[in-house]
Amino acid sequence: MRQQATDVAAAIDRVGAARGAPEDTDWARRGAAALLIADVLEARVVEALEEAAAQVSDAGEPAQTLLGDPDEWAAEHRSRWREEGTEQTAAPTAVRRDLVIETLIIASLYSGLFFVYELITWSWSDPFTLAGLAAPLALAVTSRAVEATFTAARARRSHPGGVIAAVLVGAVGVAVTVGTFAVGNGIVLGPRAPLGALGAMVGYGLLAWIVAQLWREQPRRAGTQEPLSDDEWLAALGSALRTRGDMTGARIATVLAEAKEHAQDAGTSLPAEFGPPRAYAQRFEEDRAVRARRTAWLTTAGALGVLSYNVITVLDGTPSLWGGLWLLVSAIIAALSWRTVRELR
Amino acid sequence: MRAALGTGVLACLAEEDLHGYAIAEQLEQRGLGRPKGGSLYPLLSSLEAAGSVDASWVQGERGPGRRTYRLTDAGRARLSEERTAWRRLVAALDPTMDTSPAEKGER
Repeated sequence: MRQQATDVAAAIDRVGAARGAPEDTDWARRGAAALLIADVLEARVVEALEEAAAQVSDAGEPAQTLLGDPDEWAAEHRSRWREEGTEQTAAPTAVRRDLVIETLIIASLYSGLFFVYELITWSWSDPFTLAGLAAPLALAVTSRAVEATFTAARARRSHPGGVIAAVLVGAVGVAVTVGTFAVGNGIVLGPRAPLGALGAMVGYGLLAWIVAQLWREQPRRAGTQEPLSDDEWLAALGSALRTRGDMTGARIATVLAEAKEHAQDAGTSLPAEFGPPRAYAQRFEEDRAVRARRTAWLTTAGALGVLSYNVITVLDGTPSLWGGLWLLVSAIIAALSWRTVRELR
Repeated sequence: MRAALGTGVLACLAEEDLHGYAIAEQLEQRGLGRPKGGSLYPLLSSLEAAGSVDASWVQGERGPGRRTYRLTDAGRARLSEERTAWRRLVAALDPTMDTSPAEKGER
């Protein structure tokens, strides 16, 4: 019996090797990308590609002809896994090592933006200050902390709970960043701001790489866990449903209540009747309307933030064209997201 | 059996409004086997999203209210179409079998 591919790259090669056609490799790459973008577990992607490789090998036809468009092929697999109750995405885990490395990478990206800003505004003769070095890190810590707080609080409590916790953490982060600018702007580290920003970009990137090398990744435990009690199962299901991001609190309460009543009527345990909580949570079809509505509120909040900034600059007597353009772009994005909400109604 | 589950659920609701577990029991009585809750509720959720059924909380005589499902007009039309499709399938598999709706006493 053929040994199964161990990772996605090997499985893509397996599809390409089925007929020895490079076009099949491209097809497999696109199919795998569609699944990976949807956060599908690597093991599921490998299984799907293995199946495709076997089909292409048996039929001797191009993957595109045999299995159709790779995006549709990926969507069909996701739909099949959902129907079968197969777990297709992993629980979001906030591993300390990943948080640190991601924060440093984000700091490197912010430094890159600072560099571009210095170039656009032609600030060659400006000095590189401590703020130029520390502010990207402060912004990166804020961004990563806001995302991690939102994800954790939403899973534990509710979507609005996640938003409130994220706003509180964001406010503290913004205060720290403003403080960094206030203190750091007066401390000059070098003569050329753009070169300093470029150096910070490379430096943070390098630091992320060094941390990744020195801090070894702990192997993640597979899904072989202790059997759950009914209460633990309900708690895990609630968390998994909230993490989906497309279910309202009322809908989640309904799913939980129905599961509990059904198991009581059947005289069985919840795990026996409904399977693993994460897999069950993934069996419900996506509610695009709820997701679109939440995105629309987020973009509206962003546009209101930009509007507030513009009002302050006008009151200060320092209105800027950039501020106006920024407001226009954010207003258009918000309007487009509300249009999507209307279309899905 | 999985393919017939959706039609089976609609057929149960064509007779009376039912809560989830009662639908599972009805399906068992019809010889379709009692589906696990893990399959039934996501299916009911899809049918609800498609407008084939709607659901409301109905207060029971004893204990808390139950979420009860009802077939909508769109659901009735869908059931009729699906029954026709199943009849065609049965006729294709066994031409000797009489699958005309009148003699089967279709509701």
